[in-house]
Amino acid sequence: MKQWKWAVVATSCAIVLAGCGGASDGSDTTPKTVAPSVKVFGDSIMDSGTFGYKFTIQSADASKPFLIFPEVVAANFGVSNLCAFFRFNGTTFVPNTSCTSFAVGGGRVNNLTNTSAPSNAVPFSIPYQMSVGAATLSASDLVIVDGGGNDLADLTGAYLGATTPAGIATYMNLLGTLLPPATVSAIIGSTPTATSMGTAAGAYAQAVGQTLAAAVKTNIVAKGVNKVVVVNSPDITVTPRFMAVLSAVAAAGGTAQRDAVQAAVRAWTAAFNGALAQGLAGTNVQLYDLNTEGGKISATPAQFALTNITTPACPKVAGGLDSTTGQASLSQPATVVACNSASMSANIPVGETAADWWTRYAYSDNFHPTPALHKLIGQSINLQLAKAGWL
Amino acid sequence: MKNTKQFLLVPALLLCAAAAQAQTAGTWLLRAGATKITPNVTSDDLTAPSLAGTKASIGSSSRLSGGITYMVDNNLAIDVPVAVPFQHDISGDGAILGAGKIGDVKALPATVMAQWRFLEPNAPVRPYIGAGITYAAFYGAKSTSTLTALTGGTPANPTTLSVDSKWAATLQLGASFQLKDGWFIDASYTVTPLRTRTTLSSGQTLDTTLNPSSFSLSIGMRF
Repeated sequence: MKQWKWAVVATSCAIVLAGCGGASDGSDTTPKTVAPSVKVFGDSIMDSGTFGYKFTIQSADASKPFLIFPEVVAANFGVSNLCAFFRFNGTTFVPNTSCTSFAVGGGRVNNLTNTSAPSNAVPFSIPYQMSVGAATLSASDLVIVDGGGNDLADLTGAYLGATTPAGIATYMNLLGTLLPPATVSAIIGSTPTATSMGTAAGAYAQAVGQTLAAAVKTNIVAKGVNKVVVVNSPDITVTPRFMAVLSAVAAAGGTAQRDAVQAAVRAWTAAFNGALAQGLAGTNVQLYDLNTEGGKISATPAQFALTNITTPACPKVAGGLDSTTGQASLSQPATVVACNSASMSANIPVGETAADWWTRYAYSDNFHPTPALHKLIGQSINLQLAKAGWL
Repeated sequence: MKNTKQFLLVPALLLCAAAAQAQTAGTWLLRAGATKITPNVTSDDLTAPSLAGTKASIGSSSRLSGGITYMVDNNLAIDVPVAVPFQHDISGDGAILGAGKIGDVKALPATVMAQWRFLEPNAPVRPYIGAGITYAAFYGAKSTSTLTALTGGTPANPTTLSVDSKWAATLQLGASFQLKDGWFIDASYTVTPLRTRTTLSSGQTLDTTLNPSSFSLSIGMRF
């Protein structure tokens, strides 16, 4: 009997002592899914350095470059060194076969509307990027695709320019690069109106969405890739560039016309996104709705720790401005040099008080996200992929 | 080591010297069993930058446990529960429901209770109520790669978390069932109103009301 009592005492003491063990806080840094390779196809918001830089604020610490959203996603699949496959040497694109990001700034689904390189057999063509990358795809790769933003920008520019016979002809030519000319003529009619041209634009946007979906299915899904993420088009009408364009429309034709143009572009974007979703229905593709998720950020910036979602953070410098809007543009080398985290921290703009002011801005130049917004988009995609059981 | 053994033996000898026939004044009760702690979580939202309604849920944990009770008089007792550290899984909830486990944290609640034991010391069943104070020590928080992904971190720059330790009151309902030869079975249910803050390495915070309830079932011996 007494032995039992001792056993109880000893057990109790052991329990007490076991409770004294300590441990420090930490993290499991092994990704849930490790992809052997992450392949990226798209435009400037996913370009990891085709032109020697990324279309966002440049990090002053070269050893710690700011991540764009596909890089945030890729890192969480164990791939931390995305780099550009196509390298522009000033004249042409030179493949770097050790890199797997095929996205190119200025990339279009239908690159025939790219006035500087109207061809679908160049790296500006997103379907072309996919056809090149398809050769090295493996089933366990993670693939990320975006597109449509530049197509919609081209479409909008041509639509706004269709106020003269020559402008209308240019506009109809653009639509005819993807739609049968007879279809374009039938929709627009013998006497073009803003409404009929807008309807034709919707049909074009839908065709762009169908084209992207078809390219994804042919080049990626058909290769047996299990993890594919397709990012739809955000609402480009809330970018600083588009807001400046809309302001000009309002100045020339009133706020009602401005609102009509914005509504039209949003409808075309919805047509593109709808066709993309419909085209990918029934596949294993994770379609990420950047349009909706980005809208949440625009609607409640404070929730996402952003204080300015309308002003480009990059400084305006000589030779670095958008020729249409006069805003800072990362398409200009002068802005790339000036839009540097160190110099921006050293030059706090009026209305800001802290050196890290630019970390709370949504846009770097007039069209492209800051590293902060990239991070938000990346973690939002990661959330969808976590819910899918991938992360 | 020798000193440690002696240190452990002293209270044990005291316990044995106090052996008695029932739960009378001066009796020591020693028990061992298991405890399940179930947090009843109400989560606030994670602070910015985050999706609106980003919340967390915290899972239950069961561990070996025990305790020591000293009868101050025939009804009043002082009780000190002990247990192996608990480990609670933290999962996404609200806007991040379905994202899975985002971390886990070890918890070691240190509690001292004053109990009032009803009925006679030798009654076959003695229900009791108790009230006390708990120090809920949270430590060893470990985030998953999912939390890092959801907060825009990377494996090279992972998001970690820590949970504030807190003092709280504890209320108890229980009963002791007498067996033969000084053995007894003890069952108790406690609630601890507890609110704490989880802080991420990103600087974001998440306040949660845990209000854990716990159920313990033990077998014991009186001395």
